[in-house]
Amino acid sequence: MLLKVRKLNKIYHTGKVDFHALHDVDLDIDKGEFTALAGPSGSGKTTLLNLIGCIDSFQSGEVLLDGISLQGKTSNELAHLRREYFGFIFQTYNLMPVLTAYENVELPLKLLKKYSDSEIQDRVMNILKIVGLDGLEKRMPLELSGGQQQRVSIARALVKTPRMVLADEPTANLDSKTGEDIVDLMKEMNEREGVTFVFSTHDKLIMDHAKRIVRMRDGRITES
Amino acid sequence: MKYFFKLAFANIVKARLRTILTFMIITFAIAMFVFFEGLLAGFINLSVDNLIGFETGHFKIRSENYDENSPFVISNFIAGYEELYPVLEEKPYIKGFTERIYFLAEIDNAIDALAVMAVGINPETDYSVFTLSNFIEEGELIEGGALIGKNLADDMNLQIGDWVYLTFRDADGMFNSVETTINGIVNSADPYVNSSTVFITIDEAKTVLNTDSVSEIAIRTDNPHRVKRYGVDLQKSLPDHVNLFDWHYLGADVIAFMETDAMSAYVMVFFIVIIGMVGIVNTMLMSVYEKKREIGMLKALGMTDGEVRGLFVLEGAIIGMFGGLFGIILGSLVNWYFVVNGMDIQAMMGGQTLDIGYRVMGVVKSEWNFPSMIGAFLFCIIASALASLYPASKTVKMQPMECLRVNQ
Repeated sequence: MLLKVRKLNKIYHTGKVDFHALHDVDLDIDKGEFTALAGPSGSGKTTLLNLIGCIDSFQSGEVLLDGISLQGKTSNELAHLRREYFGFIFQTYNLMPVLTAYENVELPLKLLKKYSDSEIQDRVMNILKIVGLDGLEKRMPLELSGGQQQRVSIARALVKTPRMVLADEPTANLDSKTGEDIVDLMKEMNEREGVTFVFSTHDKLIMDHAKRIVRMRDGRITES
Repeated sequence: MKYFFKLAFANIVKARLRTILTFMIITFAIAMFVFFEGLLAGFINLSVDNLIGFETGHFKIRSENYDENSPFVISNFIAGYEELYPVLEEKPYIKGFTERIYFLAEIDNAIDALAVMAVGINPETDYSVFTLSNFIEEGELIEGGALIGKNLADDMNLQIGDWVYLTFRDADGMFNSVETTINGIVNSADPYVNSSTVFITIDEAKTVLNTDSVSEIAIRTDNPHRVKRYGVDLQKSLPDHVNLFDWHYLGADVIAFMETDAMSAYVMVFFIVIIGMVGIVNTMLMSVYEKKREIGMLKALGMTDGEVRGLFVLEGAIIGMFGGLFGIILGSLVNWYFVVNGMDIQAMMGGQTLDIGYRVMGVVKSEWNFPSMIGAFLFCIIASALASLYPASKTVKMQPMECLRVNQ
């Protein structure tokens, strides 16, 4: 089992009001899964993805990655886990605006510090070709369309062949045709590279591409 | 590391306007430092030269009875001073020596009367220790006459050939008054010499004071910076009834005053540099605020807290490095002008002598102080990097998602 989530609770403290975003959530994700987290806004999809990806903290429960508990890990240990395990795709792309498409994609490889310059170049050019961006590698993010930016973001998430890609509403800012293309691309990468995908969506069309759908409501998993 | 540089550069270039503003503050601060430092060094060196050249020489030999609280009394004088000359002549590092007599007097031209310091000098040997002879603007010192400072001459409306009375107490404590002619005008680099000193020949001074003794013997060596070493050797060769003092001791008050003034200038420059550092903190704080999402993304990609902190510190250091470099170039250009042309203090003061503790007047030339420039450059880089630490540390406390949530 790649990921085990047990009795996970997350409470947001906003002023005097506490918001219980996740209630005792249990979830197992196996290697190679292509899983959609479905549910309305505020159901806890994004929160669950953030906690799985170690980019937010939780109050109680347990998250196990390859059997290793995230609890008690230091900030630096979590950073190294993110570096090794995860690729992230965000609804708003979150590309570095000062870097070109190529430089954005090479960033995770530079942080990994285990590839030579020529290996990095081969990997980056290869993934940019796969996501259909060859020829656009020198463009700055602002010179690309929304769909192209999301492709850069996917290339960035996949370039290091992570154990798991976490995608938060990856198609929400795209038109339906581009959105379907993006999900097709993710699915292709899942099938070709065996990369595990967990993505959140409330788009019915996108959900249909998922091999497994986990439904959420009010911070609880209602169907797994 | 190369990639971090690239990222830091990209961030700096992106925030162009803010970077330029910070950069300009640092450039200005360092340029001011380089210029002030050079000018201050020029002031100090010229002051020390003047102090040695007009007042102290490298050494002075005084009687063991010398009373510093009453420096002009005749009981301070060295009797039989000429017996010391063979000792001085055999020291290879002594390049010249001369005797002088100092006493207080009143100069009177029947219209005005002013208190002055009268100095009896030996025209044959005085030039070998002091620089007075280089600054005689008109005339010369001859027996029966006097040299006076230019400002004193202007104040009393005296010209060459005019008569004045000098009144003083002689060796017997009696008031004595002599009539003397103005034979020369001194326009020196020492404001005290210019405004309140009268020079007569030492023979005449001995005659009018009714003494065979002198106040002191002044000595010039081959190197003013070796006086400590030379002093040890020379003191051993001198008899017990005299003491030896070097120019550090003799000019201690003036040197202390100069150092205090220099410190004030450094404090001012320090505050200018602090303003530059505040500019960097401000730039970096705004940068952190603006780039919260990017920081969140970098953290999500696996950048550690130390690496994020390092990125901001690197940005600060790069701004500091270029700001410092341009500051040194700009400061050097300004300093170069004043090294070549100098600053005419007298012209700036409307022809008056500057008397602020620095014994300078006329044109002060800046000097180059390369170790200080290198120090300022390194300080700029380190201080800029340190100024970035606080904003950078703010990013470290944030969870990646806290950063990414901004404006989402």
